[in-house]
Amino acid sequence: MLRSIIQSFILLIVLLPPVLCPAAEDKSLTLKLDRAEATLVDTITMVVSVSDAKSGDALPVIKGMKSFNVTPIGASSHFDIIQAKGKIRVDFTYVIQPKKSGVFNLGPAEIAFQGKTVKSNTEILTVTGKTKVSSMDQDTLFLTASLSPNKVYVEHQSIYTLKLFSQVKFRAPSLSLPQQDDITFWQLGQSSRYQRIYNGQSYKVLDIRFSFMPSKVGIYEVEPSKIHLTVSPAGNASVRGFIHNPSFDDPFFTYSKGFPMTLASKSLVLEVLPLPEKGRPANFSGLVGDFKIRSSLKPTEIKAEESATLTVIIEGQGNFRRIPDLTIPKIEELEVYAHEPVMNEKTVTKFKTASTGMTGSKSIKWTLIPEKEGPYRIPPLAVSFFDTRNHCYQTIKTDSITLSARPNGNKARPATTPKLEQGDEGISINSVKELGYDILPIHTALNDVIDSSRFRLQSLTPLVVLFAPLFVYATTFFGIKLRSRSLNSRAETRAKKAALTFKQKYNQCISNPDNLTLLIRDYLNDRYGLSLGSPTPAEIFEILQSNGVSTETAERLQKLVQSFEEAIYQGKAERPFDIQKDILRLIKQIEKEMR
Amino acid sequence: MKIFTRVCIPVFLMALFVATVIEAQTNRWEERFFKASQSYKDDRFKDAAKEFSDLIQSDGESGHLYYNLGNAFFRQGQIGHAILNYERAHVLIPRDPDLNFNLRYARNQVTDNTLQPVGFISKTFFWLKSLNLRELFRGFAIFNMLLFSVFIVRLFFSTEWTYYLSIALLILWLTSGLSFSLKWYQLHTDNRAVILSEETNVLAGPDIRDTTLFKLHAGTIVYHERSESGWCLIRLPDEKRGWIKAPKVECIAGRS
Repeated sequence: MLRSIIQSFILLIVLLPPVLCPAAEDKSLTLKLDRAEATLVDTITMVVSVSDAKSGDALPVIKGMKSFNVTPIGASSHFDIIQAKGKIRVDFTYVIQPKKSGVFNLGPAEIAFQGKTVKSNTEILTVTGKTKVSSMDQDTLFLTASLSPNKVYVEHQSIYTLKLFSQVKFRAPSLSLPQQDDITFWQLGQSSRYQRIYNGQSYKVLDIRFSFMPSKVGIYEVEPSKIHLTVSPAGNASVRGFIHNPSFDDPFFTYSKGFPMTLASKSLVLEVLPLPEKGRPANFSGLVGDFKIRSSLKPTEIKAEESATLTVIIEGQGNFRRIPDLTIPKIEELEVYAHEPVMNEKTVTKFKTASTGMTGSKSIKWTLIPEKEGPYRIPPLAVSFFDTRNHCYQTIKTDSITLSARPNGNKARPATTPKLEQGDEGISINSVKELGYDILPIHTALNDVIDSSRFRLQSLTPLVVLFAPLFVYATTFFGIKLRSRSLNSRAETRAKKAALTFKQKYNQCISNPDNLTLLIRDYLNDRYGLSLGSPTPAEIFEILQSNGVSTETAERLQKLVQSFEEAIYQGKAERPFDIQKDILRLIKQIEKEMR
Repeated sequence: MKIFTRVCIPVFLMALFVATVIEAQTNRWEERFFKASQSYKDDRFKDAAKEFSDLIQSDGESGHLYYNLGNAFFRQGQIGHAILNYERAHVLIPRDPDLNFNLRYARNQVTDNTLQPVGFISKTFFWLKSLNLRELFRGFAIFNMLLFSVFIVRLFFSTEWTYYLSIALLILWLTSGLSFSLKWYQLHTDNRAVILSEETNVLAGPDIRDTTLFKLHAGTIVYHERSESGWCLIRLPDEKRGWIKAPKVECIAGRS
């Protein structure tokens, strides 16, 4: 009994502390690479493990990754028991591809936790520049390259074949061909896909072919081609077998986007031989390959001064762009118009691509117009080329062609006025035939060149031209407004000062009826803007009444003016009147009533 | 008298000197132009192209110089450069028959068939493509002057005929002003570019490892959207887009 109590007590002591005193949170980061050395085409797996991870933790930030393309693959969680405590560890898996060679310090990975930054270890990775060729024996995805033939003459076509063998699904393939001087690749048609058994295993093959023609003699090393692609996840089983990484064996592992990879083919050697000097024709244009020539004349029988078309087609496999332009020797009484080789319709250089290489043809046409009746023999036209199959120079010729011209029945001019379409030779022309195409010549007239310069609004002249009329109009408009306002204001001022002016003049002159009548007239003119000569008393009454003066006041002034007139006509004008106070009071009254 | 001789003679001499310098410079320009034309006539097209190009850079753009430069490139078989310069000349001398003929001929040599869409503005203001900016400005300036002249006349003689005349001139003024503004806008937002290299791959992104989307050939006209780290994002009229290396394409309005 005592023994069992002691055993229980010991067990309690061992188990209780971790429960009562939970271990302090101990988050840590570790960074691991699947290898320490790699090449430029390799894909390295990097795993950052966060121990004691909780939901809500930030993602780790990894330093030192500038020289790498980083693709996050996914995260996997693991349950670990450490010191009798269960903890969750999360592994973040990345795939990195180096951009350049060198020795790199990857990491540390950092994560922010409770105000602190937790860092991982760093790892050293050495990247060499040597391209690793994909192994054909073990991989489920590899790239092969071949040259056929690998011994060629200068400008002799060789076929470069790339084959991508795969047992997995991939997407977004991007091909990088070797970038070398003197070698230009032309893709031959579309790529083809088929199934093939290799080493007892079935592969899907993507076959792409290119043609190239080396332009210089020597031995070339054709550098490896590369394909960048993303391997798509297609079920865990196939992926695990492919990648061989313990991380992927995790049953809780999940993919995110795919696995980027770069595959490289092997480098190849190409020997380029010079064309032999022996047997080289004098007019050899550098054409290499296998070519044929044919010709046709349509029609073969025409009337004199009508036209026929001679077509010569040279076609074959090789550097067809070197097919020379042929010329017909001068034939008497036969006009020959050659068509420009670069034209679209008359002379066309076409090329078709075939699985055996590039073929091309050049079509040259001439318009022949015999001046008289008779047979015209067009001699054979020849082209020389270097036959790469037989390793010797060959000359191919057209057959000799004869153009027969019959007499032209329409020689005599018509008696009536000829139609506009008919020419002097009596040939009836329906439409003008174009015999050649070319651009028009340059312009050499100096004045034209100077006048066609670019227009710039920022210079002073255009702005002056634009705004000058507006400025003139604005000046005229405001000038007129200002003038009329000043005229009006003058009249207003005169009206306002009319009473004062009357008083001043009244004080200065002798107050006899004659002067007083004039003063009253001036007062009325100034006050009302009139130009009265000698108003009658009745007119004065009407003027005052029409301007708002009361009848009584107007009558008083009327009577006053009447009395002045009586005085003038009765000969009493020289005598001063004693109406000083009356008249001034009256004027004041008028002003008062006018306000 | 002394002051007169002390002031006027130096001024006269200075004016004479300036006139001589300007005359010399004009003669030098003429010499270079004739030299370039002679190079072209002697079939030295590369030299002619360089000389015309130098004239444009040093003495300012001219439609006829661009036309001549286009011809020089065409003779060298560089369709892309030829069309680029023909298009630049077309902005300045749109009605030149020689230019239009050569441009049409050069366009027929282009491998890619990309139809340039005609916008609403170009359809409505159909005269814009036949007039250059200078001509539109001149028209606008003339109507501007006539309109304000009639307004000034109406300040003094406000009659019915001046009223109708001012309405008519106002409409013409508005039309010419709008035409000038639209042309200005078209020229300053022209993002057309020409492919210069014989054949170029258009990629999905600005990286040589990106997927090739399609190929374009010399002389094809595209729209330049933006440039980034030595690459250009271009768009075709049928809305296909992609990236090509900057040296393989050049904007038509690049020099303005």
